[in-house]
Amino acid sequence: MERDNQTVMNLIDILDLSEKDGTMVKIAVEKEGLLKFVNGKGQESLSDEVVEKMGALHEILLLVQDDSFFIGGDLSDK
Amino acid sequence: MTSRKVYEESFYKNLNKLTGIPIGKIKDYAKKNNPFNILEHPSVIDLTDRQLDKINKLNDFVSTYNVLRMEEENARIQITCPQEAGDYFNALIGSKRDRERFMVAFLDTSNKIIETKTISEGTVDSAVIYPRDVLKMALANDCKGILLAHNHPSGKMTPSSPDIAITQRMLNIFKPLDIKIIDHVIVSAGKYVSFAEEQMLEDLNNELADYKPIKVGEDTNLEDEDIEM
Repeated sequence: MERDNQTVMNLIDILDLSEKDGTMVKIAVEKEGLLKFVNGKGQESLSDEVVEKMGALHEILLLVQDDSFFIGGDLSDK
Repeated sequence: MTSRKVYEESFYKNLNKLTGIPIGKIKDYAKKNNPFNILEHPSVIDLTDRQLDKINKLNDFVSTYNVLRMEEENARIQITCPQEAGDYFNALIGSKRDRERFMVAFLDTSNKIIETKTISEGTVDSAVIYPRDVLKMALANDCKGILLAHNHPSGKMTPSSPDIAITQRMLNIFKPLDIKIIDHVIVSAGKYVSFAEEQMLEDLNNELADYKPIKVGEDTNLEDEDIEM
């Protein structure tokens, strides 16, 4: 539970959320769980700006999971 | 623009949006290096304290997210054979004698269950299925396989014509999407019948996809005009 709280606090910091948006995110994460929330569930009540930032975070998470994407290609370390 | 290029641009833009690191700086670094280094070894580029703080928090978040995903992955039930499918759905609806329930389990590439949903609850001998509802849920779950199941409250285990018809329709709808119908099991009081085990899936020829609702039932033999809208 402590990990969950810390993670939500991190999320709020990463997204630079206002107190109001932060509270709404906390409620949504509590209701849906972090994984589902990150994947889009429970974001209906959030402002477009917050949803857009969540979209940015989600895309980064997807790319990080598929780290083969940047390995072995033109961009890999020489 | 290639899809790879699109992903690269997306990564740069999103990293900029979340951390405030200028896109130009990220791109400069990425010209000769793996841009993930910025996340994993932020000291590779000059960052303000605030940007560094953001990167650290983003890394913490990514780690926690990955741990949660792994925990969820390990907690998922894997279906490896018809018997397991039968046991799973018997546990859920095998003892329900009041009405037919049609359930669908959405599976990942390892046949682990992502989510199981009750699609329809009908009468004692039939239930109406809306394939487009199943389609919406399948896409939302990003599944690779689908397991169909329903109960026969009467205990009669023989698949009816509508049971075969709904299986056919699901096969037709999901095959073009590369989502495999793994099986359709009928359960009742601890017993099961598996279309896969009976090799009935192989016998169903693929036709054009049809999204109209269809009624499944034990004894009714519905023609197209009987389909409830």
